[in-house]
Amino acid sequence: MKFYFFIYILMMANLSLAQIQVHLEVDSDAMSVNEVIGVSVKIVGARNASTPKINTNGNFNLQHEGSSSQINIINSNTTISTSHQFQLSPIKPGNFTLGPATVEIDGNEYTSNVVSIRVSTATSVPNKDRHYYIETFLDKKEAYLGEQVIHTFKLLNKVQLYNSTLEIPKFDGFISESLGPEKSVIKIINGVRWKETEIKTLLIPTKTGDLEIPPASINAKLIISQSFFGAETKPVRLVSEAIKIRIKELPLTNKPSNFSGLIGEFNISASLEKNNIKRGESTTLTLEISGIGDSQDFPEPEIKTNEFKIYNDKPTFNKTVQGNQIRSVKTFKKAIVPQKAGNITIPSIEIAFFNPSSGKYESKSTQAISINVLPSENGDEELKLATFNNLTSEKRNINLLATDLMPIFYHPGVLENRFTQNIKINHLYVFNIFAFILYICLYYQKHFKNKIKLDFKKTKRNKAFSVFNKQYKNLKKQPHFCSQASALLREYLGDKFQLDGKSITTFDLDKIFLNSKISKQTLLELKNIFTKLDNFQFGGITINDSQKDELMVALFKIVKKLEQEL
Amino acid sequence: MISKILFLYFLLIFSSSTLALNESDTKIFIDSNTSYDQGDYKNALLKYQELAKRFPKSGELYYNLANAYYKNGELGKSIFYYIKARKILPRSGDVKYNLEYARNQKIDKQESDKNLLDLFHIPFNENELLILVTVCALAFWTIMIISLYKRNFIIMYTRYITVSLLILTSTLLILHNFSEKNIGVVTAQETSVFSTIGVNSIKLFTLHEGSEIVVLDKKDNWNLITIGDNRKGWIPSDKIIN
Repeated sequence: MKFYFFIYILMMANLSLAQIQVHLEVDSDAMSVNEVIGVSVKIVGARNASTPKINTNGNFNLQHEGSSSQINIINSNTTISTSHQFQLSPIKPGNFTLGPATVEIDGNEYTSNVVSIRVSTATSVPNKDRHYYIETFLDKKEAYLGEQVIHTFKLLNKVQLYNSTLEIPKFDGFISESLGPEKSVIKIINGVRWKETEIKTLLIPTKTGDLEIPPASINAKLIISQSFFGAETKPVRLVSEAIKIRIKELPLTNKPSNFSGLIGEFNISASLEKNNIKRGESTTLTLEISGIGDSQDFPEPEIKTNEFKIYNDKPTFNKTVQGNQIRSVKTFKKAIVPQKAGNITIPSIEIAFFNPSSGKYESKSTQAISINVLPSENGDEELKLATFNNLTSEKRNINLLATDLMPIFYHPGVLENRFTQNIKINHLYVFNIFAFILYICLYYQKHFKNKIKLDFKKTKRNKAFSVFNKQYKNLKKQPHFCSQASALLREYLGDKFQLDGKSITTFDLDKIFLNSKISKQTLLELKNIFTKLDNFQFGGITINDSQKDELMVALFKIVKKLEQEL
Repeated sequence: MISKILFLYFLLIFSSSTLALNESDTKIFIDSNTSYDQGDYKNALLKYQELAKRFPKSGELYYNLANAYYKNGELGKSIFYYIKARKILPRSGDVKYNLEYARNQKIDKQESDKNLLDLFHIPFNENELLILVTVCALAFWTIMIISLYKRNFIIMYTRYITVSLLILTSTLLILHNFSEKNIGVVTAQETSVFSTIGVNSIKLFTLHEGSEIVVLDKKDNWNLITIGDNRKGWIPSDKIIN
């Protein structure tokens, strides 16, 4: 175990001391614009390197393919290396430099060497002599503005290609619409089996002039040889030619006044829900504009008449791709409410469009439709439009022509003081001071009350002896000596223990003095005095002066003793 | 007792002198709006300024004044008055829109795309904050008085909540009042900010019209200002509005 640990430490030490080097290598220093070559960045002496960044100066497209690591131990020297593979495809012909590659290791940046690459123009090998090629074309060389044009991309290969990545160009100046997923067919040409993959896109030009559609390209891998251990592949890049097309303005001659920009081949049909209705009732007129081309922006057809009222419903629109063409149907529904009884006629409605196939403006119209309107039952002009919940016409975007400040406030009322503006910060201070004073008052009221209560009890306890003493001096002169003496002693005890003195009896004494500190002797003496007083008071024995004196002395003595001991 | 105090408080509020809108003010306001509509922004400005002295709590008036300044080509002043209007009408969409509109015209980019004075923006005006503080204070003192006689879990926690709300709203009020006194905007086309008072000292940086500043101190005819990012310096008073 120690041995393996030692080896590990040794390896780590070697690895950490190894010098870090970055090498940039390319498969070839010469290539054509439709070729792809391999580029590798080898990092020697480091394990945790970031993915290298290669400076292409905007002349190449670079795609990271993956990385691999290696550890070599030769004569106890350990070397670790990581290799990153890239695919390099040029953007334009010329002599360029590639690199340096930069990697970041533990916060430090390491750079590689730079390599020169010569990029030549695409080799002009006839398609039939190739093993694979791509081509792009349009179905016409010139078109009218808004006319449908089909862009076709074709990949033909008689050898197998893997991991194909297609780059369809940006169709600037056109609205593009996919004509479905790619289609693959196998064709036998001169006895050779070719695979043909086709992608079609429908383009509608939005501006006139000579437009160019940039080349499409495809990156793929070509299998060179296959063995038991796997297949050897080579990256390939195929680039098509750019395509030019001339987009013409629509002719100005014979342009109908009601032409609204509809381009294609269209038809219009009209149908009425009911031909016989009562005055005030409604019937629905449906107008359907259908055909080849996009009719989404076709406006609501207008019917000018005083014989009936028209309420437009929200139009519906449907667009489909059929046989490499866009077909659309726009349906307008109108509620027709006759204003008078009798026969009324919905006039013919005409649409004008430009047909690119004929290169002429054409028009189509509906037949006039007559409605038999019967008089209303109650004679009132009552409109029954409950079936039409949404009578708004198609919403259009509002175009912002300019921006400016929001308008000023015009109402003089904005100058007036509002209720909230009357509140001043001083009011807040006053309120808080009031609230604070109130709180302090209530606080003291509560605490002072408790204190007085407590103090009263304490005062009574402290003054118990002086109260006793005051009454004791006049006790002998009292007519009912015994009852007065007994009451005086009870009151003294009551004051001392915060009890009702009058209700204290001899039997309560044990309970009262249970937790007090007075001695048993004192308690016994107190009980004796209570008993003597009770005997004289309730036993019918008449007390003489000497007995009075004796009791007076004993009473004073016991109270003095209690005063000391409590 | 509490009801008596509240009565006194609200009596105080209602009895405070209210500024009535008289006919002459209405006429000046209508005239200034007419001048604005006719493109006579200088005249509109004079009248709006006259009204602003009498109605310093009308956010709409500051807004109109700011619009007139903007139309008159005085970007710095317009931004300043839009900010003042926003302090009184903090949730007005028109004020917010026009302030941003005016800010888009200024040259200087500040505080990593954030406007310095937006840091002090509170979505309540002074009066609303005063009401909030008052309500919180009322709740706080009420719960304090209740807690004198009754103590339980709910009362204790309500006391903590009300005191926290009182501190929060009071802090917002203090911040609001601080920002009202210390905000400023550069009105000169271009002006330098110096390290010390006097044009002979070192020029630290240059500001352009509409740049928002916070005034930290004033001395003679100079203001110590900051634009955030630890950038401070002295600027002549006549180059800014504060």
